[in-house]
Amino acid sequence: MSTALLLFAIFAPLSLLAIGGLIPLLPEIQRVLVVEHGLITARAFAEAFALAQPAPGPNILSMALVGFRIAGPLGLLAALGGMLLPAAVLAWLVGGWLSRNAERPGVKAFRQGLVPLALGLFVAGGGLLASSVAEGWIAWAIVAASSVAIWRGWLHPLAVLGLGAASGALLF
Amino acid sequence: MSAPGPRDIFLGFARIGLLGFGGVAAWARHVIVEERRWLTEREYAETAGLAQVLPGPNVGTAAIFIGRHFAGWRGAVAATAGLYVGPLVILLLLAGMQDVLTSWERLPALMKGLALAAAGLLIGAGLRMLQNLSLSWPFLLVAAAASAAAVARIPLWQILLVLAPLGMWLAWPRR
Repeated sequence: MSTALLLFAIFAPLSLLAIGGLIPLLPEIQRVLVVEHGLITARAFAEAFALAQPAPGPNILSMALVGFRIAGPLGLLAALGGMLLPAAVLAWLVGGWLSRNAERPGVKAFRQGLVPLALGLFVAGGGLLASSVAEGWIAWAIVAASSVAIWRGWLHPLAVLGLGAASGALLF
Repeated sequence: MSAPGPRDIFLGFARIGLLGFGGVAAWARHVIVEERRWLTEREYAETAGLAQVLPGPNVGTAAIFIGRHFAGWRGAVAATAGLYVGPLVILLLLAGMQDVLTSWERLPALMKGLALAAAGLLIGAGLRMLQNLSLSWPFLLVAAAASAAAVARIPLWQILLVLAPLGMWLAWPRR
């Protein structure tokens, strides 16, 4: 039980620093769990993260698996709760404030001003993901074909993912 | 269209989570804007922008906003549960089959192809957003700057600190 509580106490404050998601935070999580508290080996941490990659869903679930490896089902709940709860409470409070003040010019301008950021970061997210795995023209051709198929609405996203996985298994 | 209830919200977000191979962001937009039509392109972009500036997993934050908007706290809980429960079960099953997975030598190549296609999902969705939003050129410049800065690996909080106030200033109603 105490290990699970410790996991919650480790993940909860870190989750409030997670602007831009899990990836920028990984080195710090790894340092605290592996070096500072010695809860898990660096190898087991990396394996848990790698194992989560073929699974669908938000990538913070990899930290639930890390919690599971450290302290079983309670560890899973503690790690996941720590990653989710503080950010969820904050989102709930901010969402309430924004909807109560939706007609204020400042709130409207804030929401509209974030639209180009959302768009730019969406495209950049794709570019960064691609450049982290793509080497060679075949890989970039898969990225380009997938992008165009989605943009023009030629294929369902699931078909695009299936074709990408199949061509990866055949060509690489 | 009538507002979705907690059950619809749970099912919609479960679909986002379970289909989200290589990332859930592109699926969240696809299901919410194109399939279920719960939000317009602009409303979804505003929600996704808010989720960027708040801490925590982006689609998780968007789930709270969208669930709350349509069905209060029940909606927020339903969206969050939908997003995480299905993938969590799959992940635990995979963890149980770890030996089988690691012994399959084509898996890394398959995962690489999947990641490349997932990148295409994001870029293609970005192009659709670009088409549907019809932004004026100052906003397009902000979008391009955000994109370039992120690709140059400038930390996100620095990008937000500069470009969010700039976007807000551009969006401020002029007399």
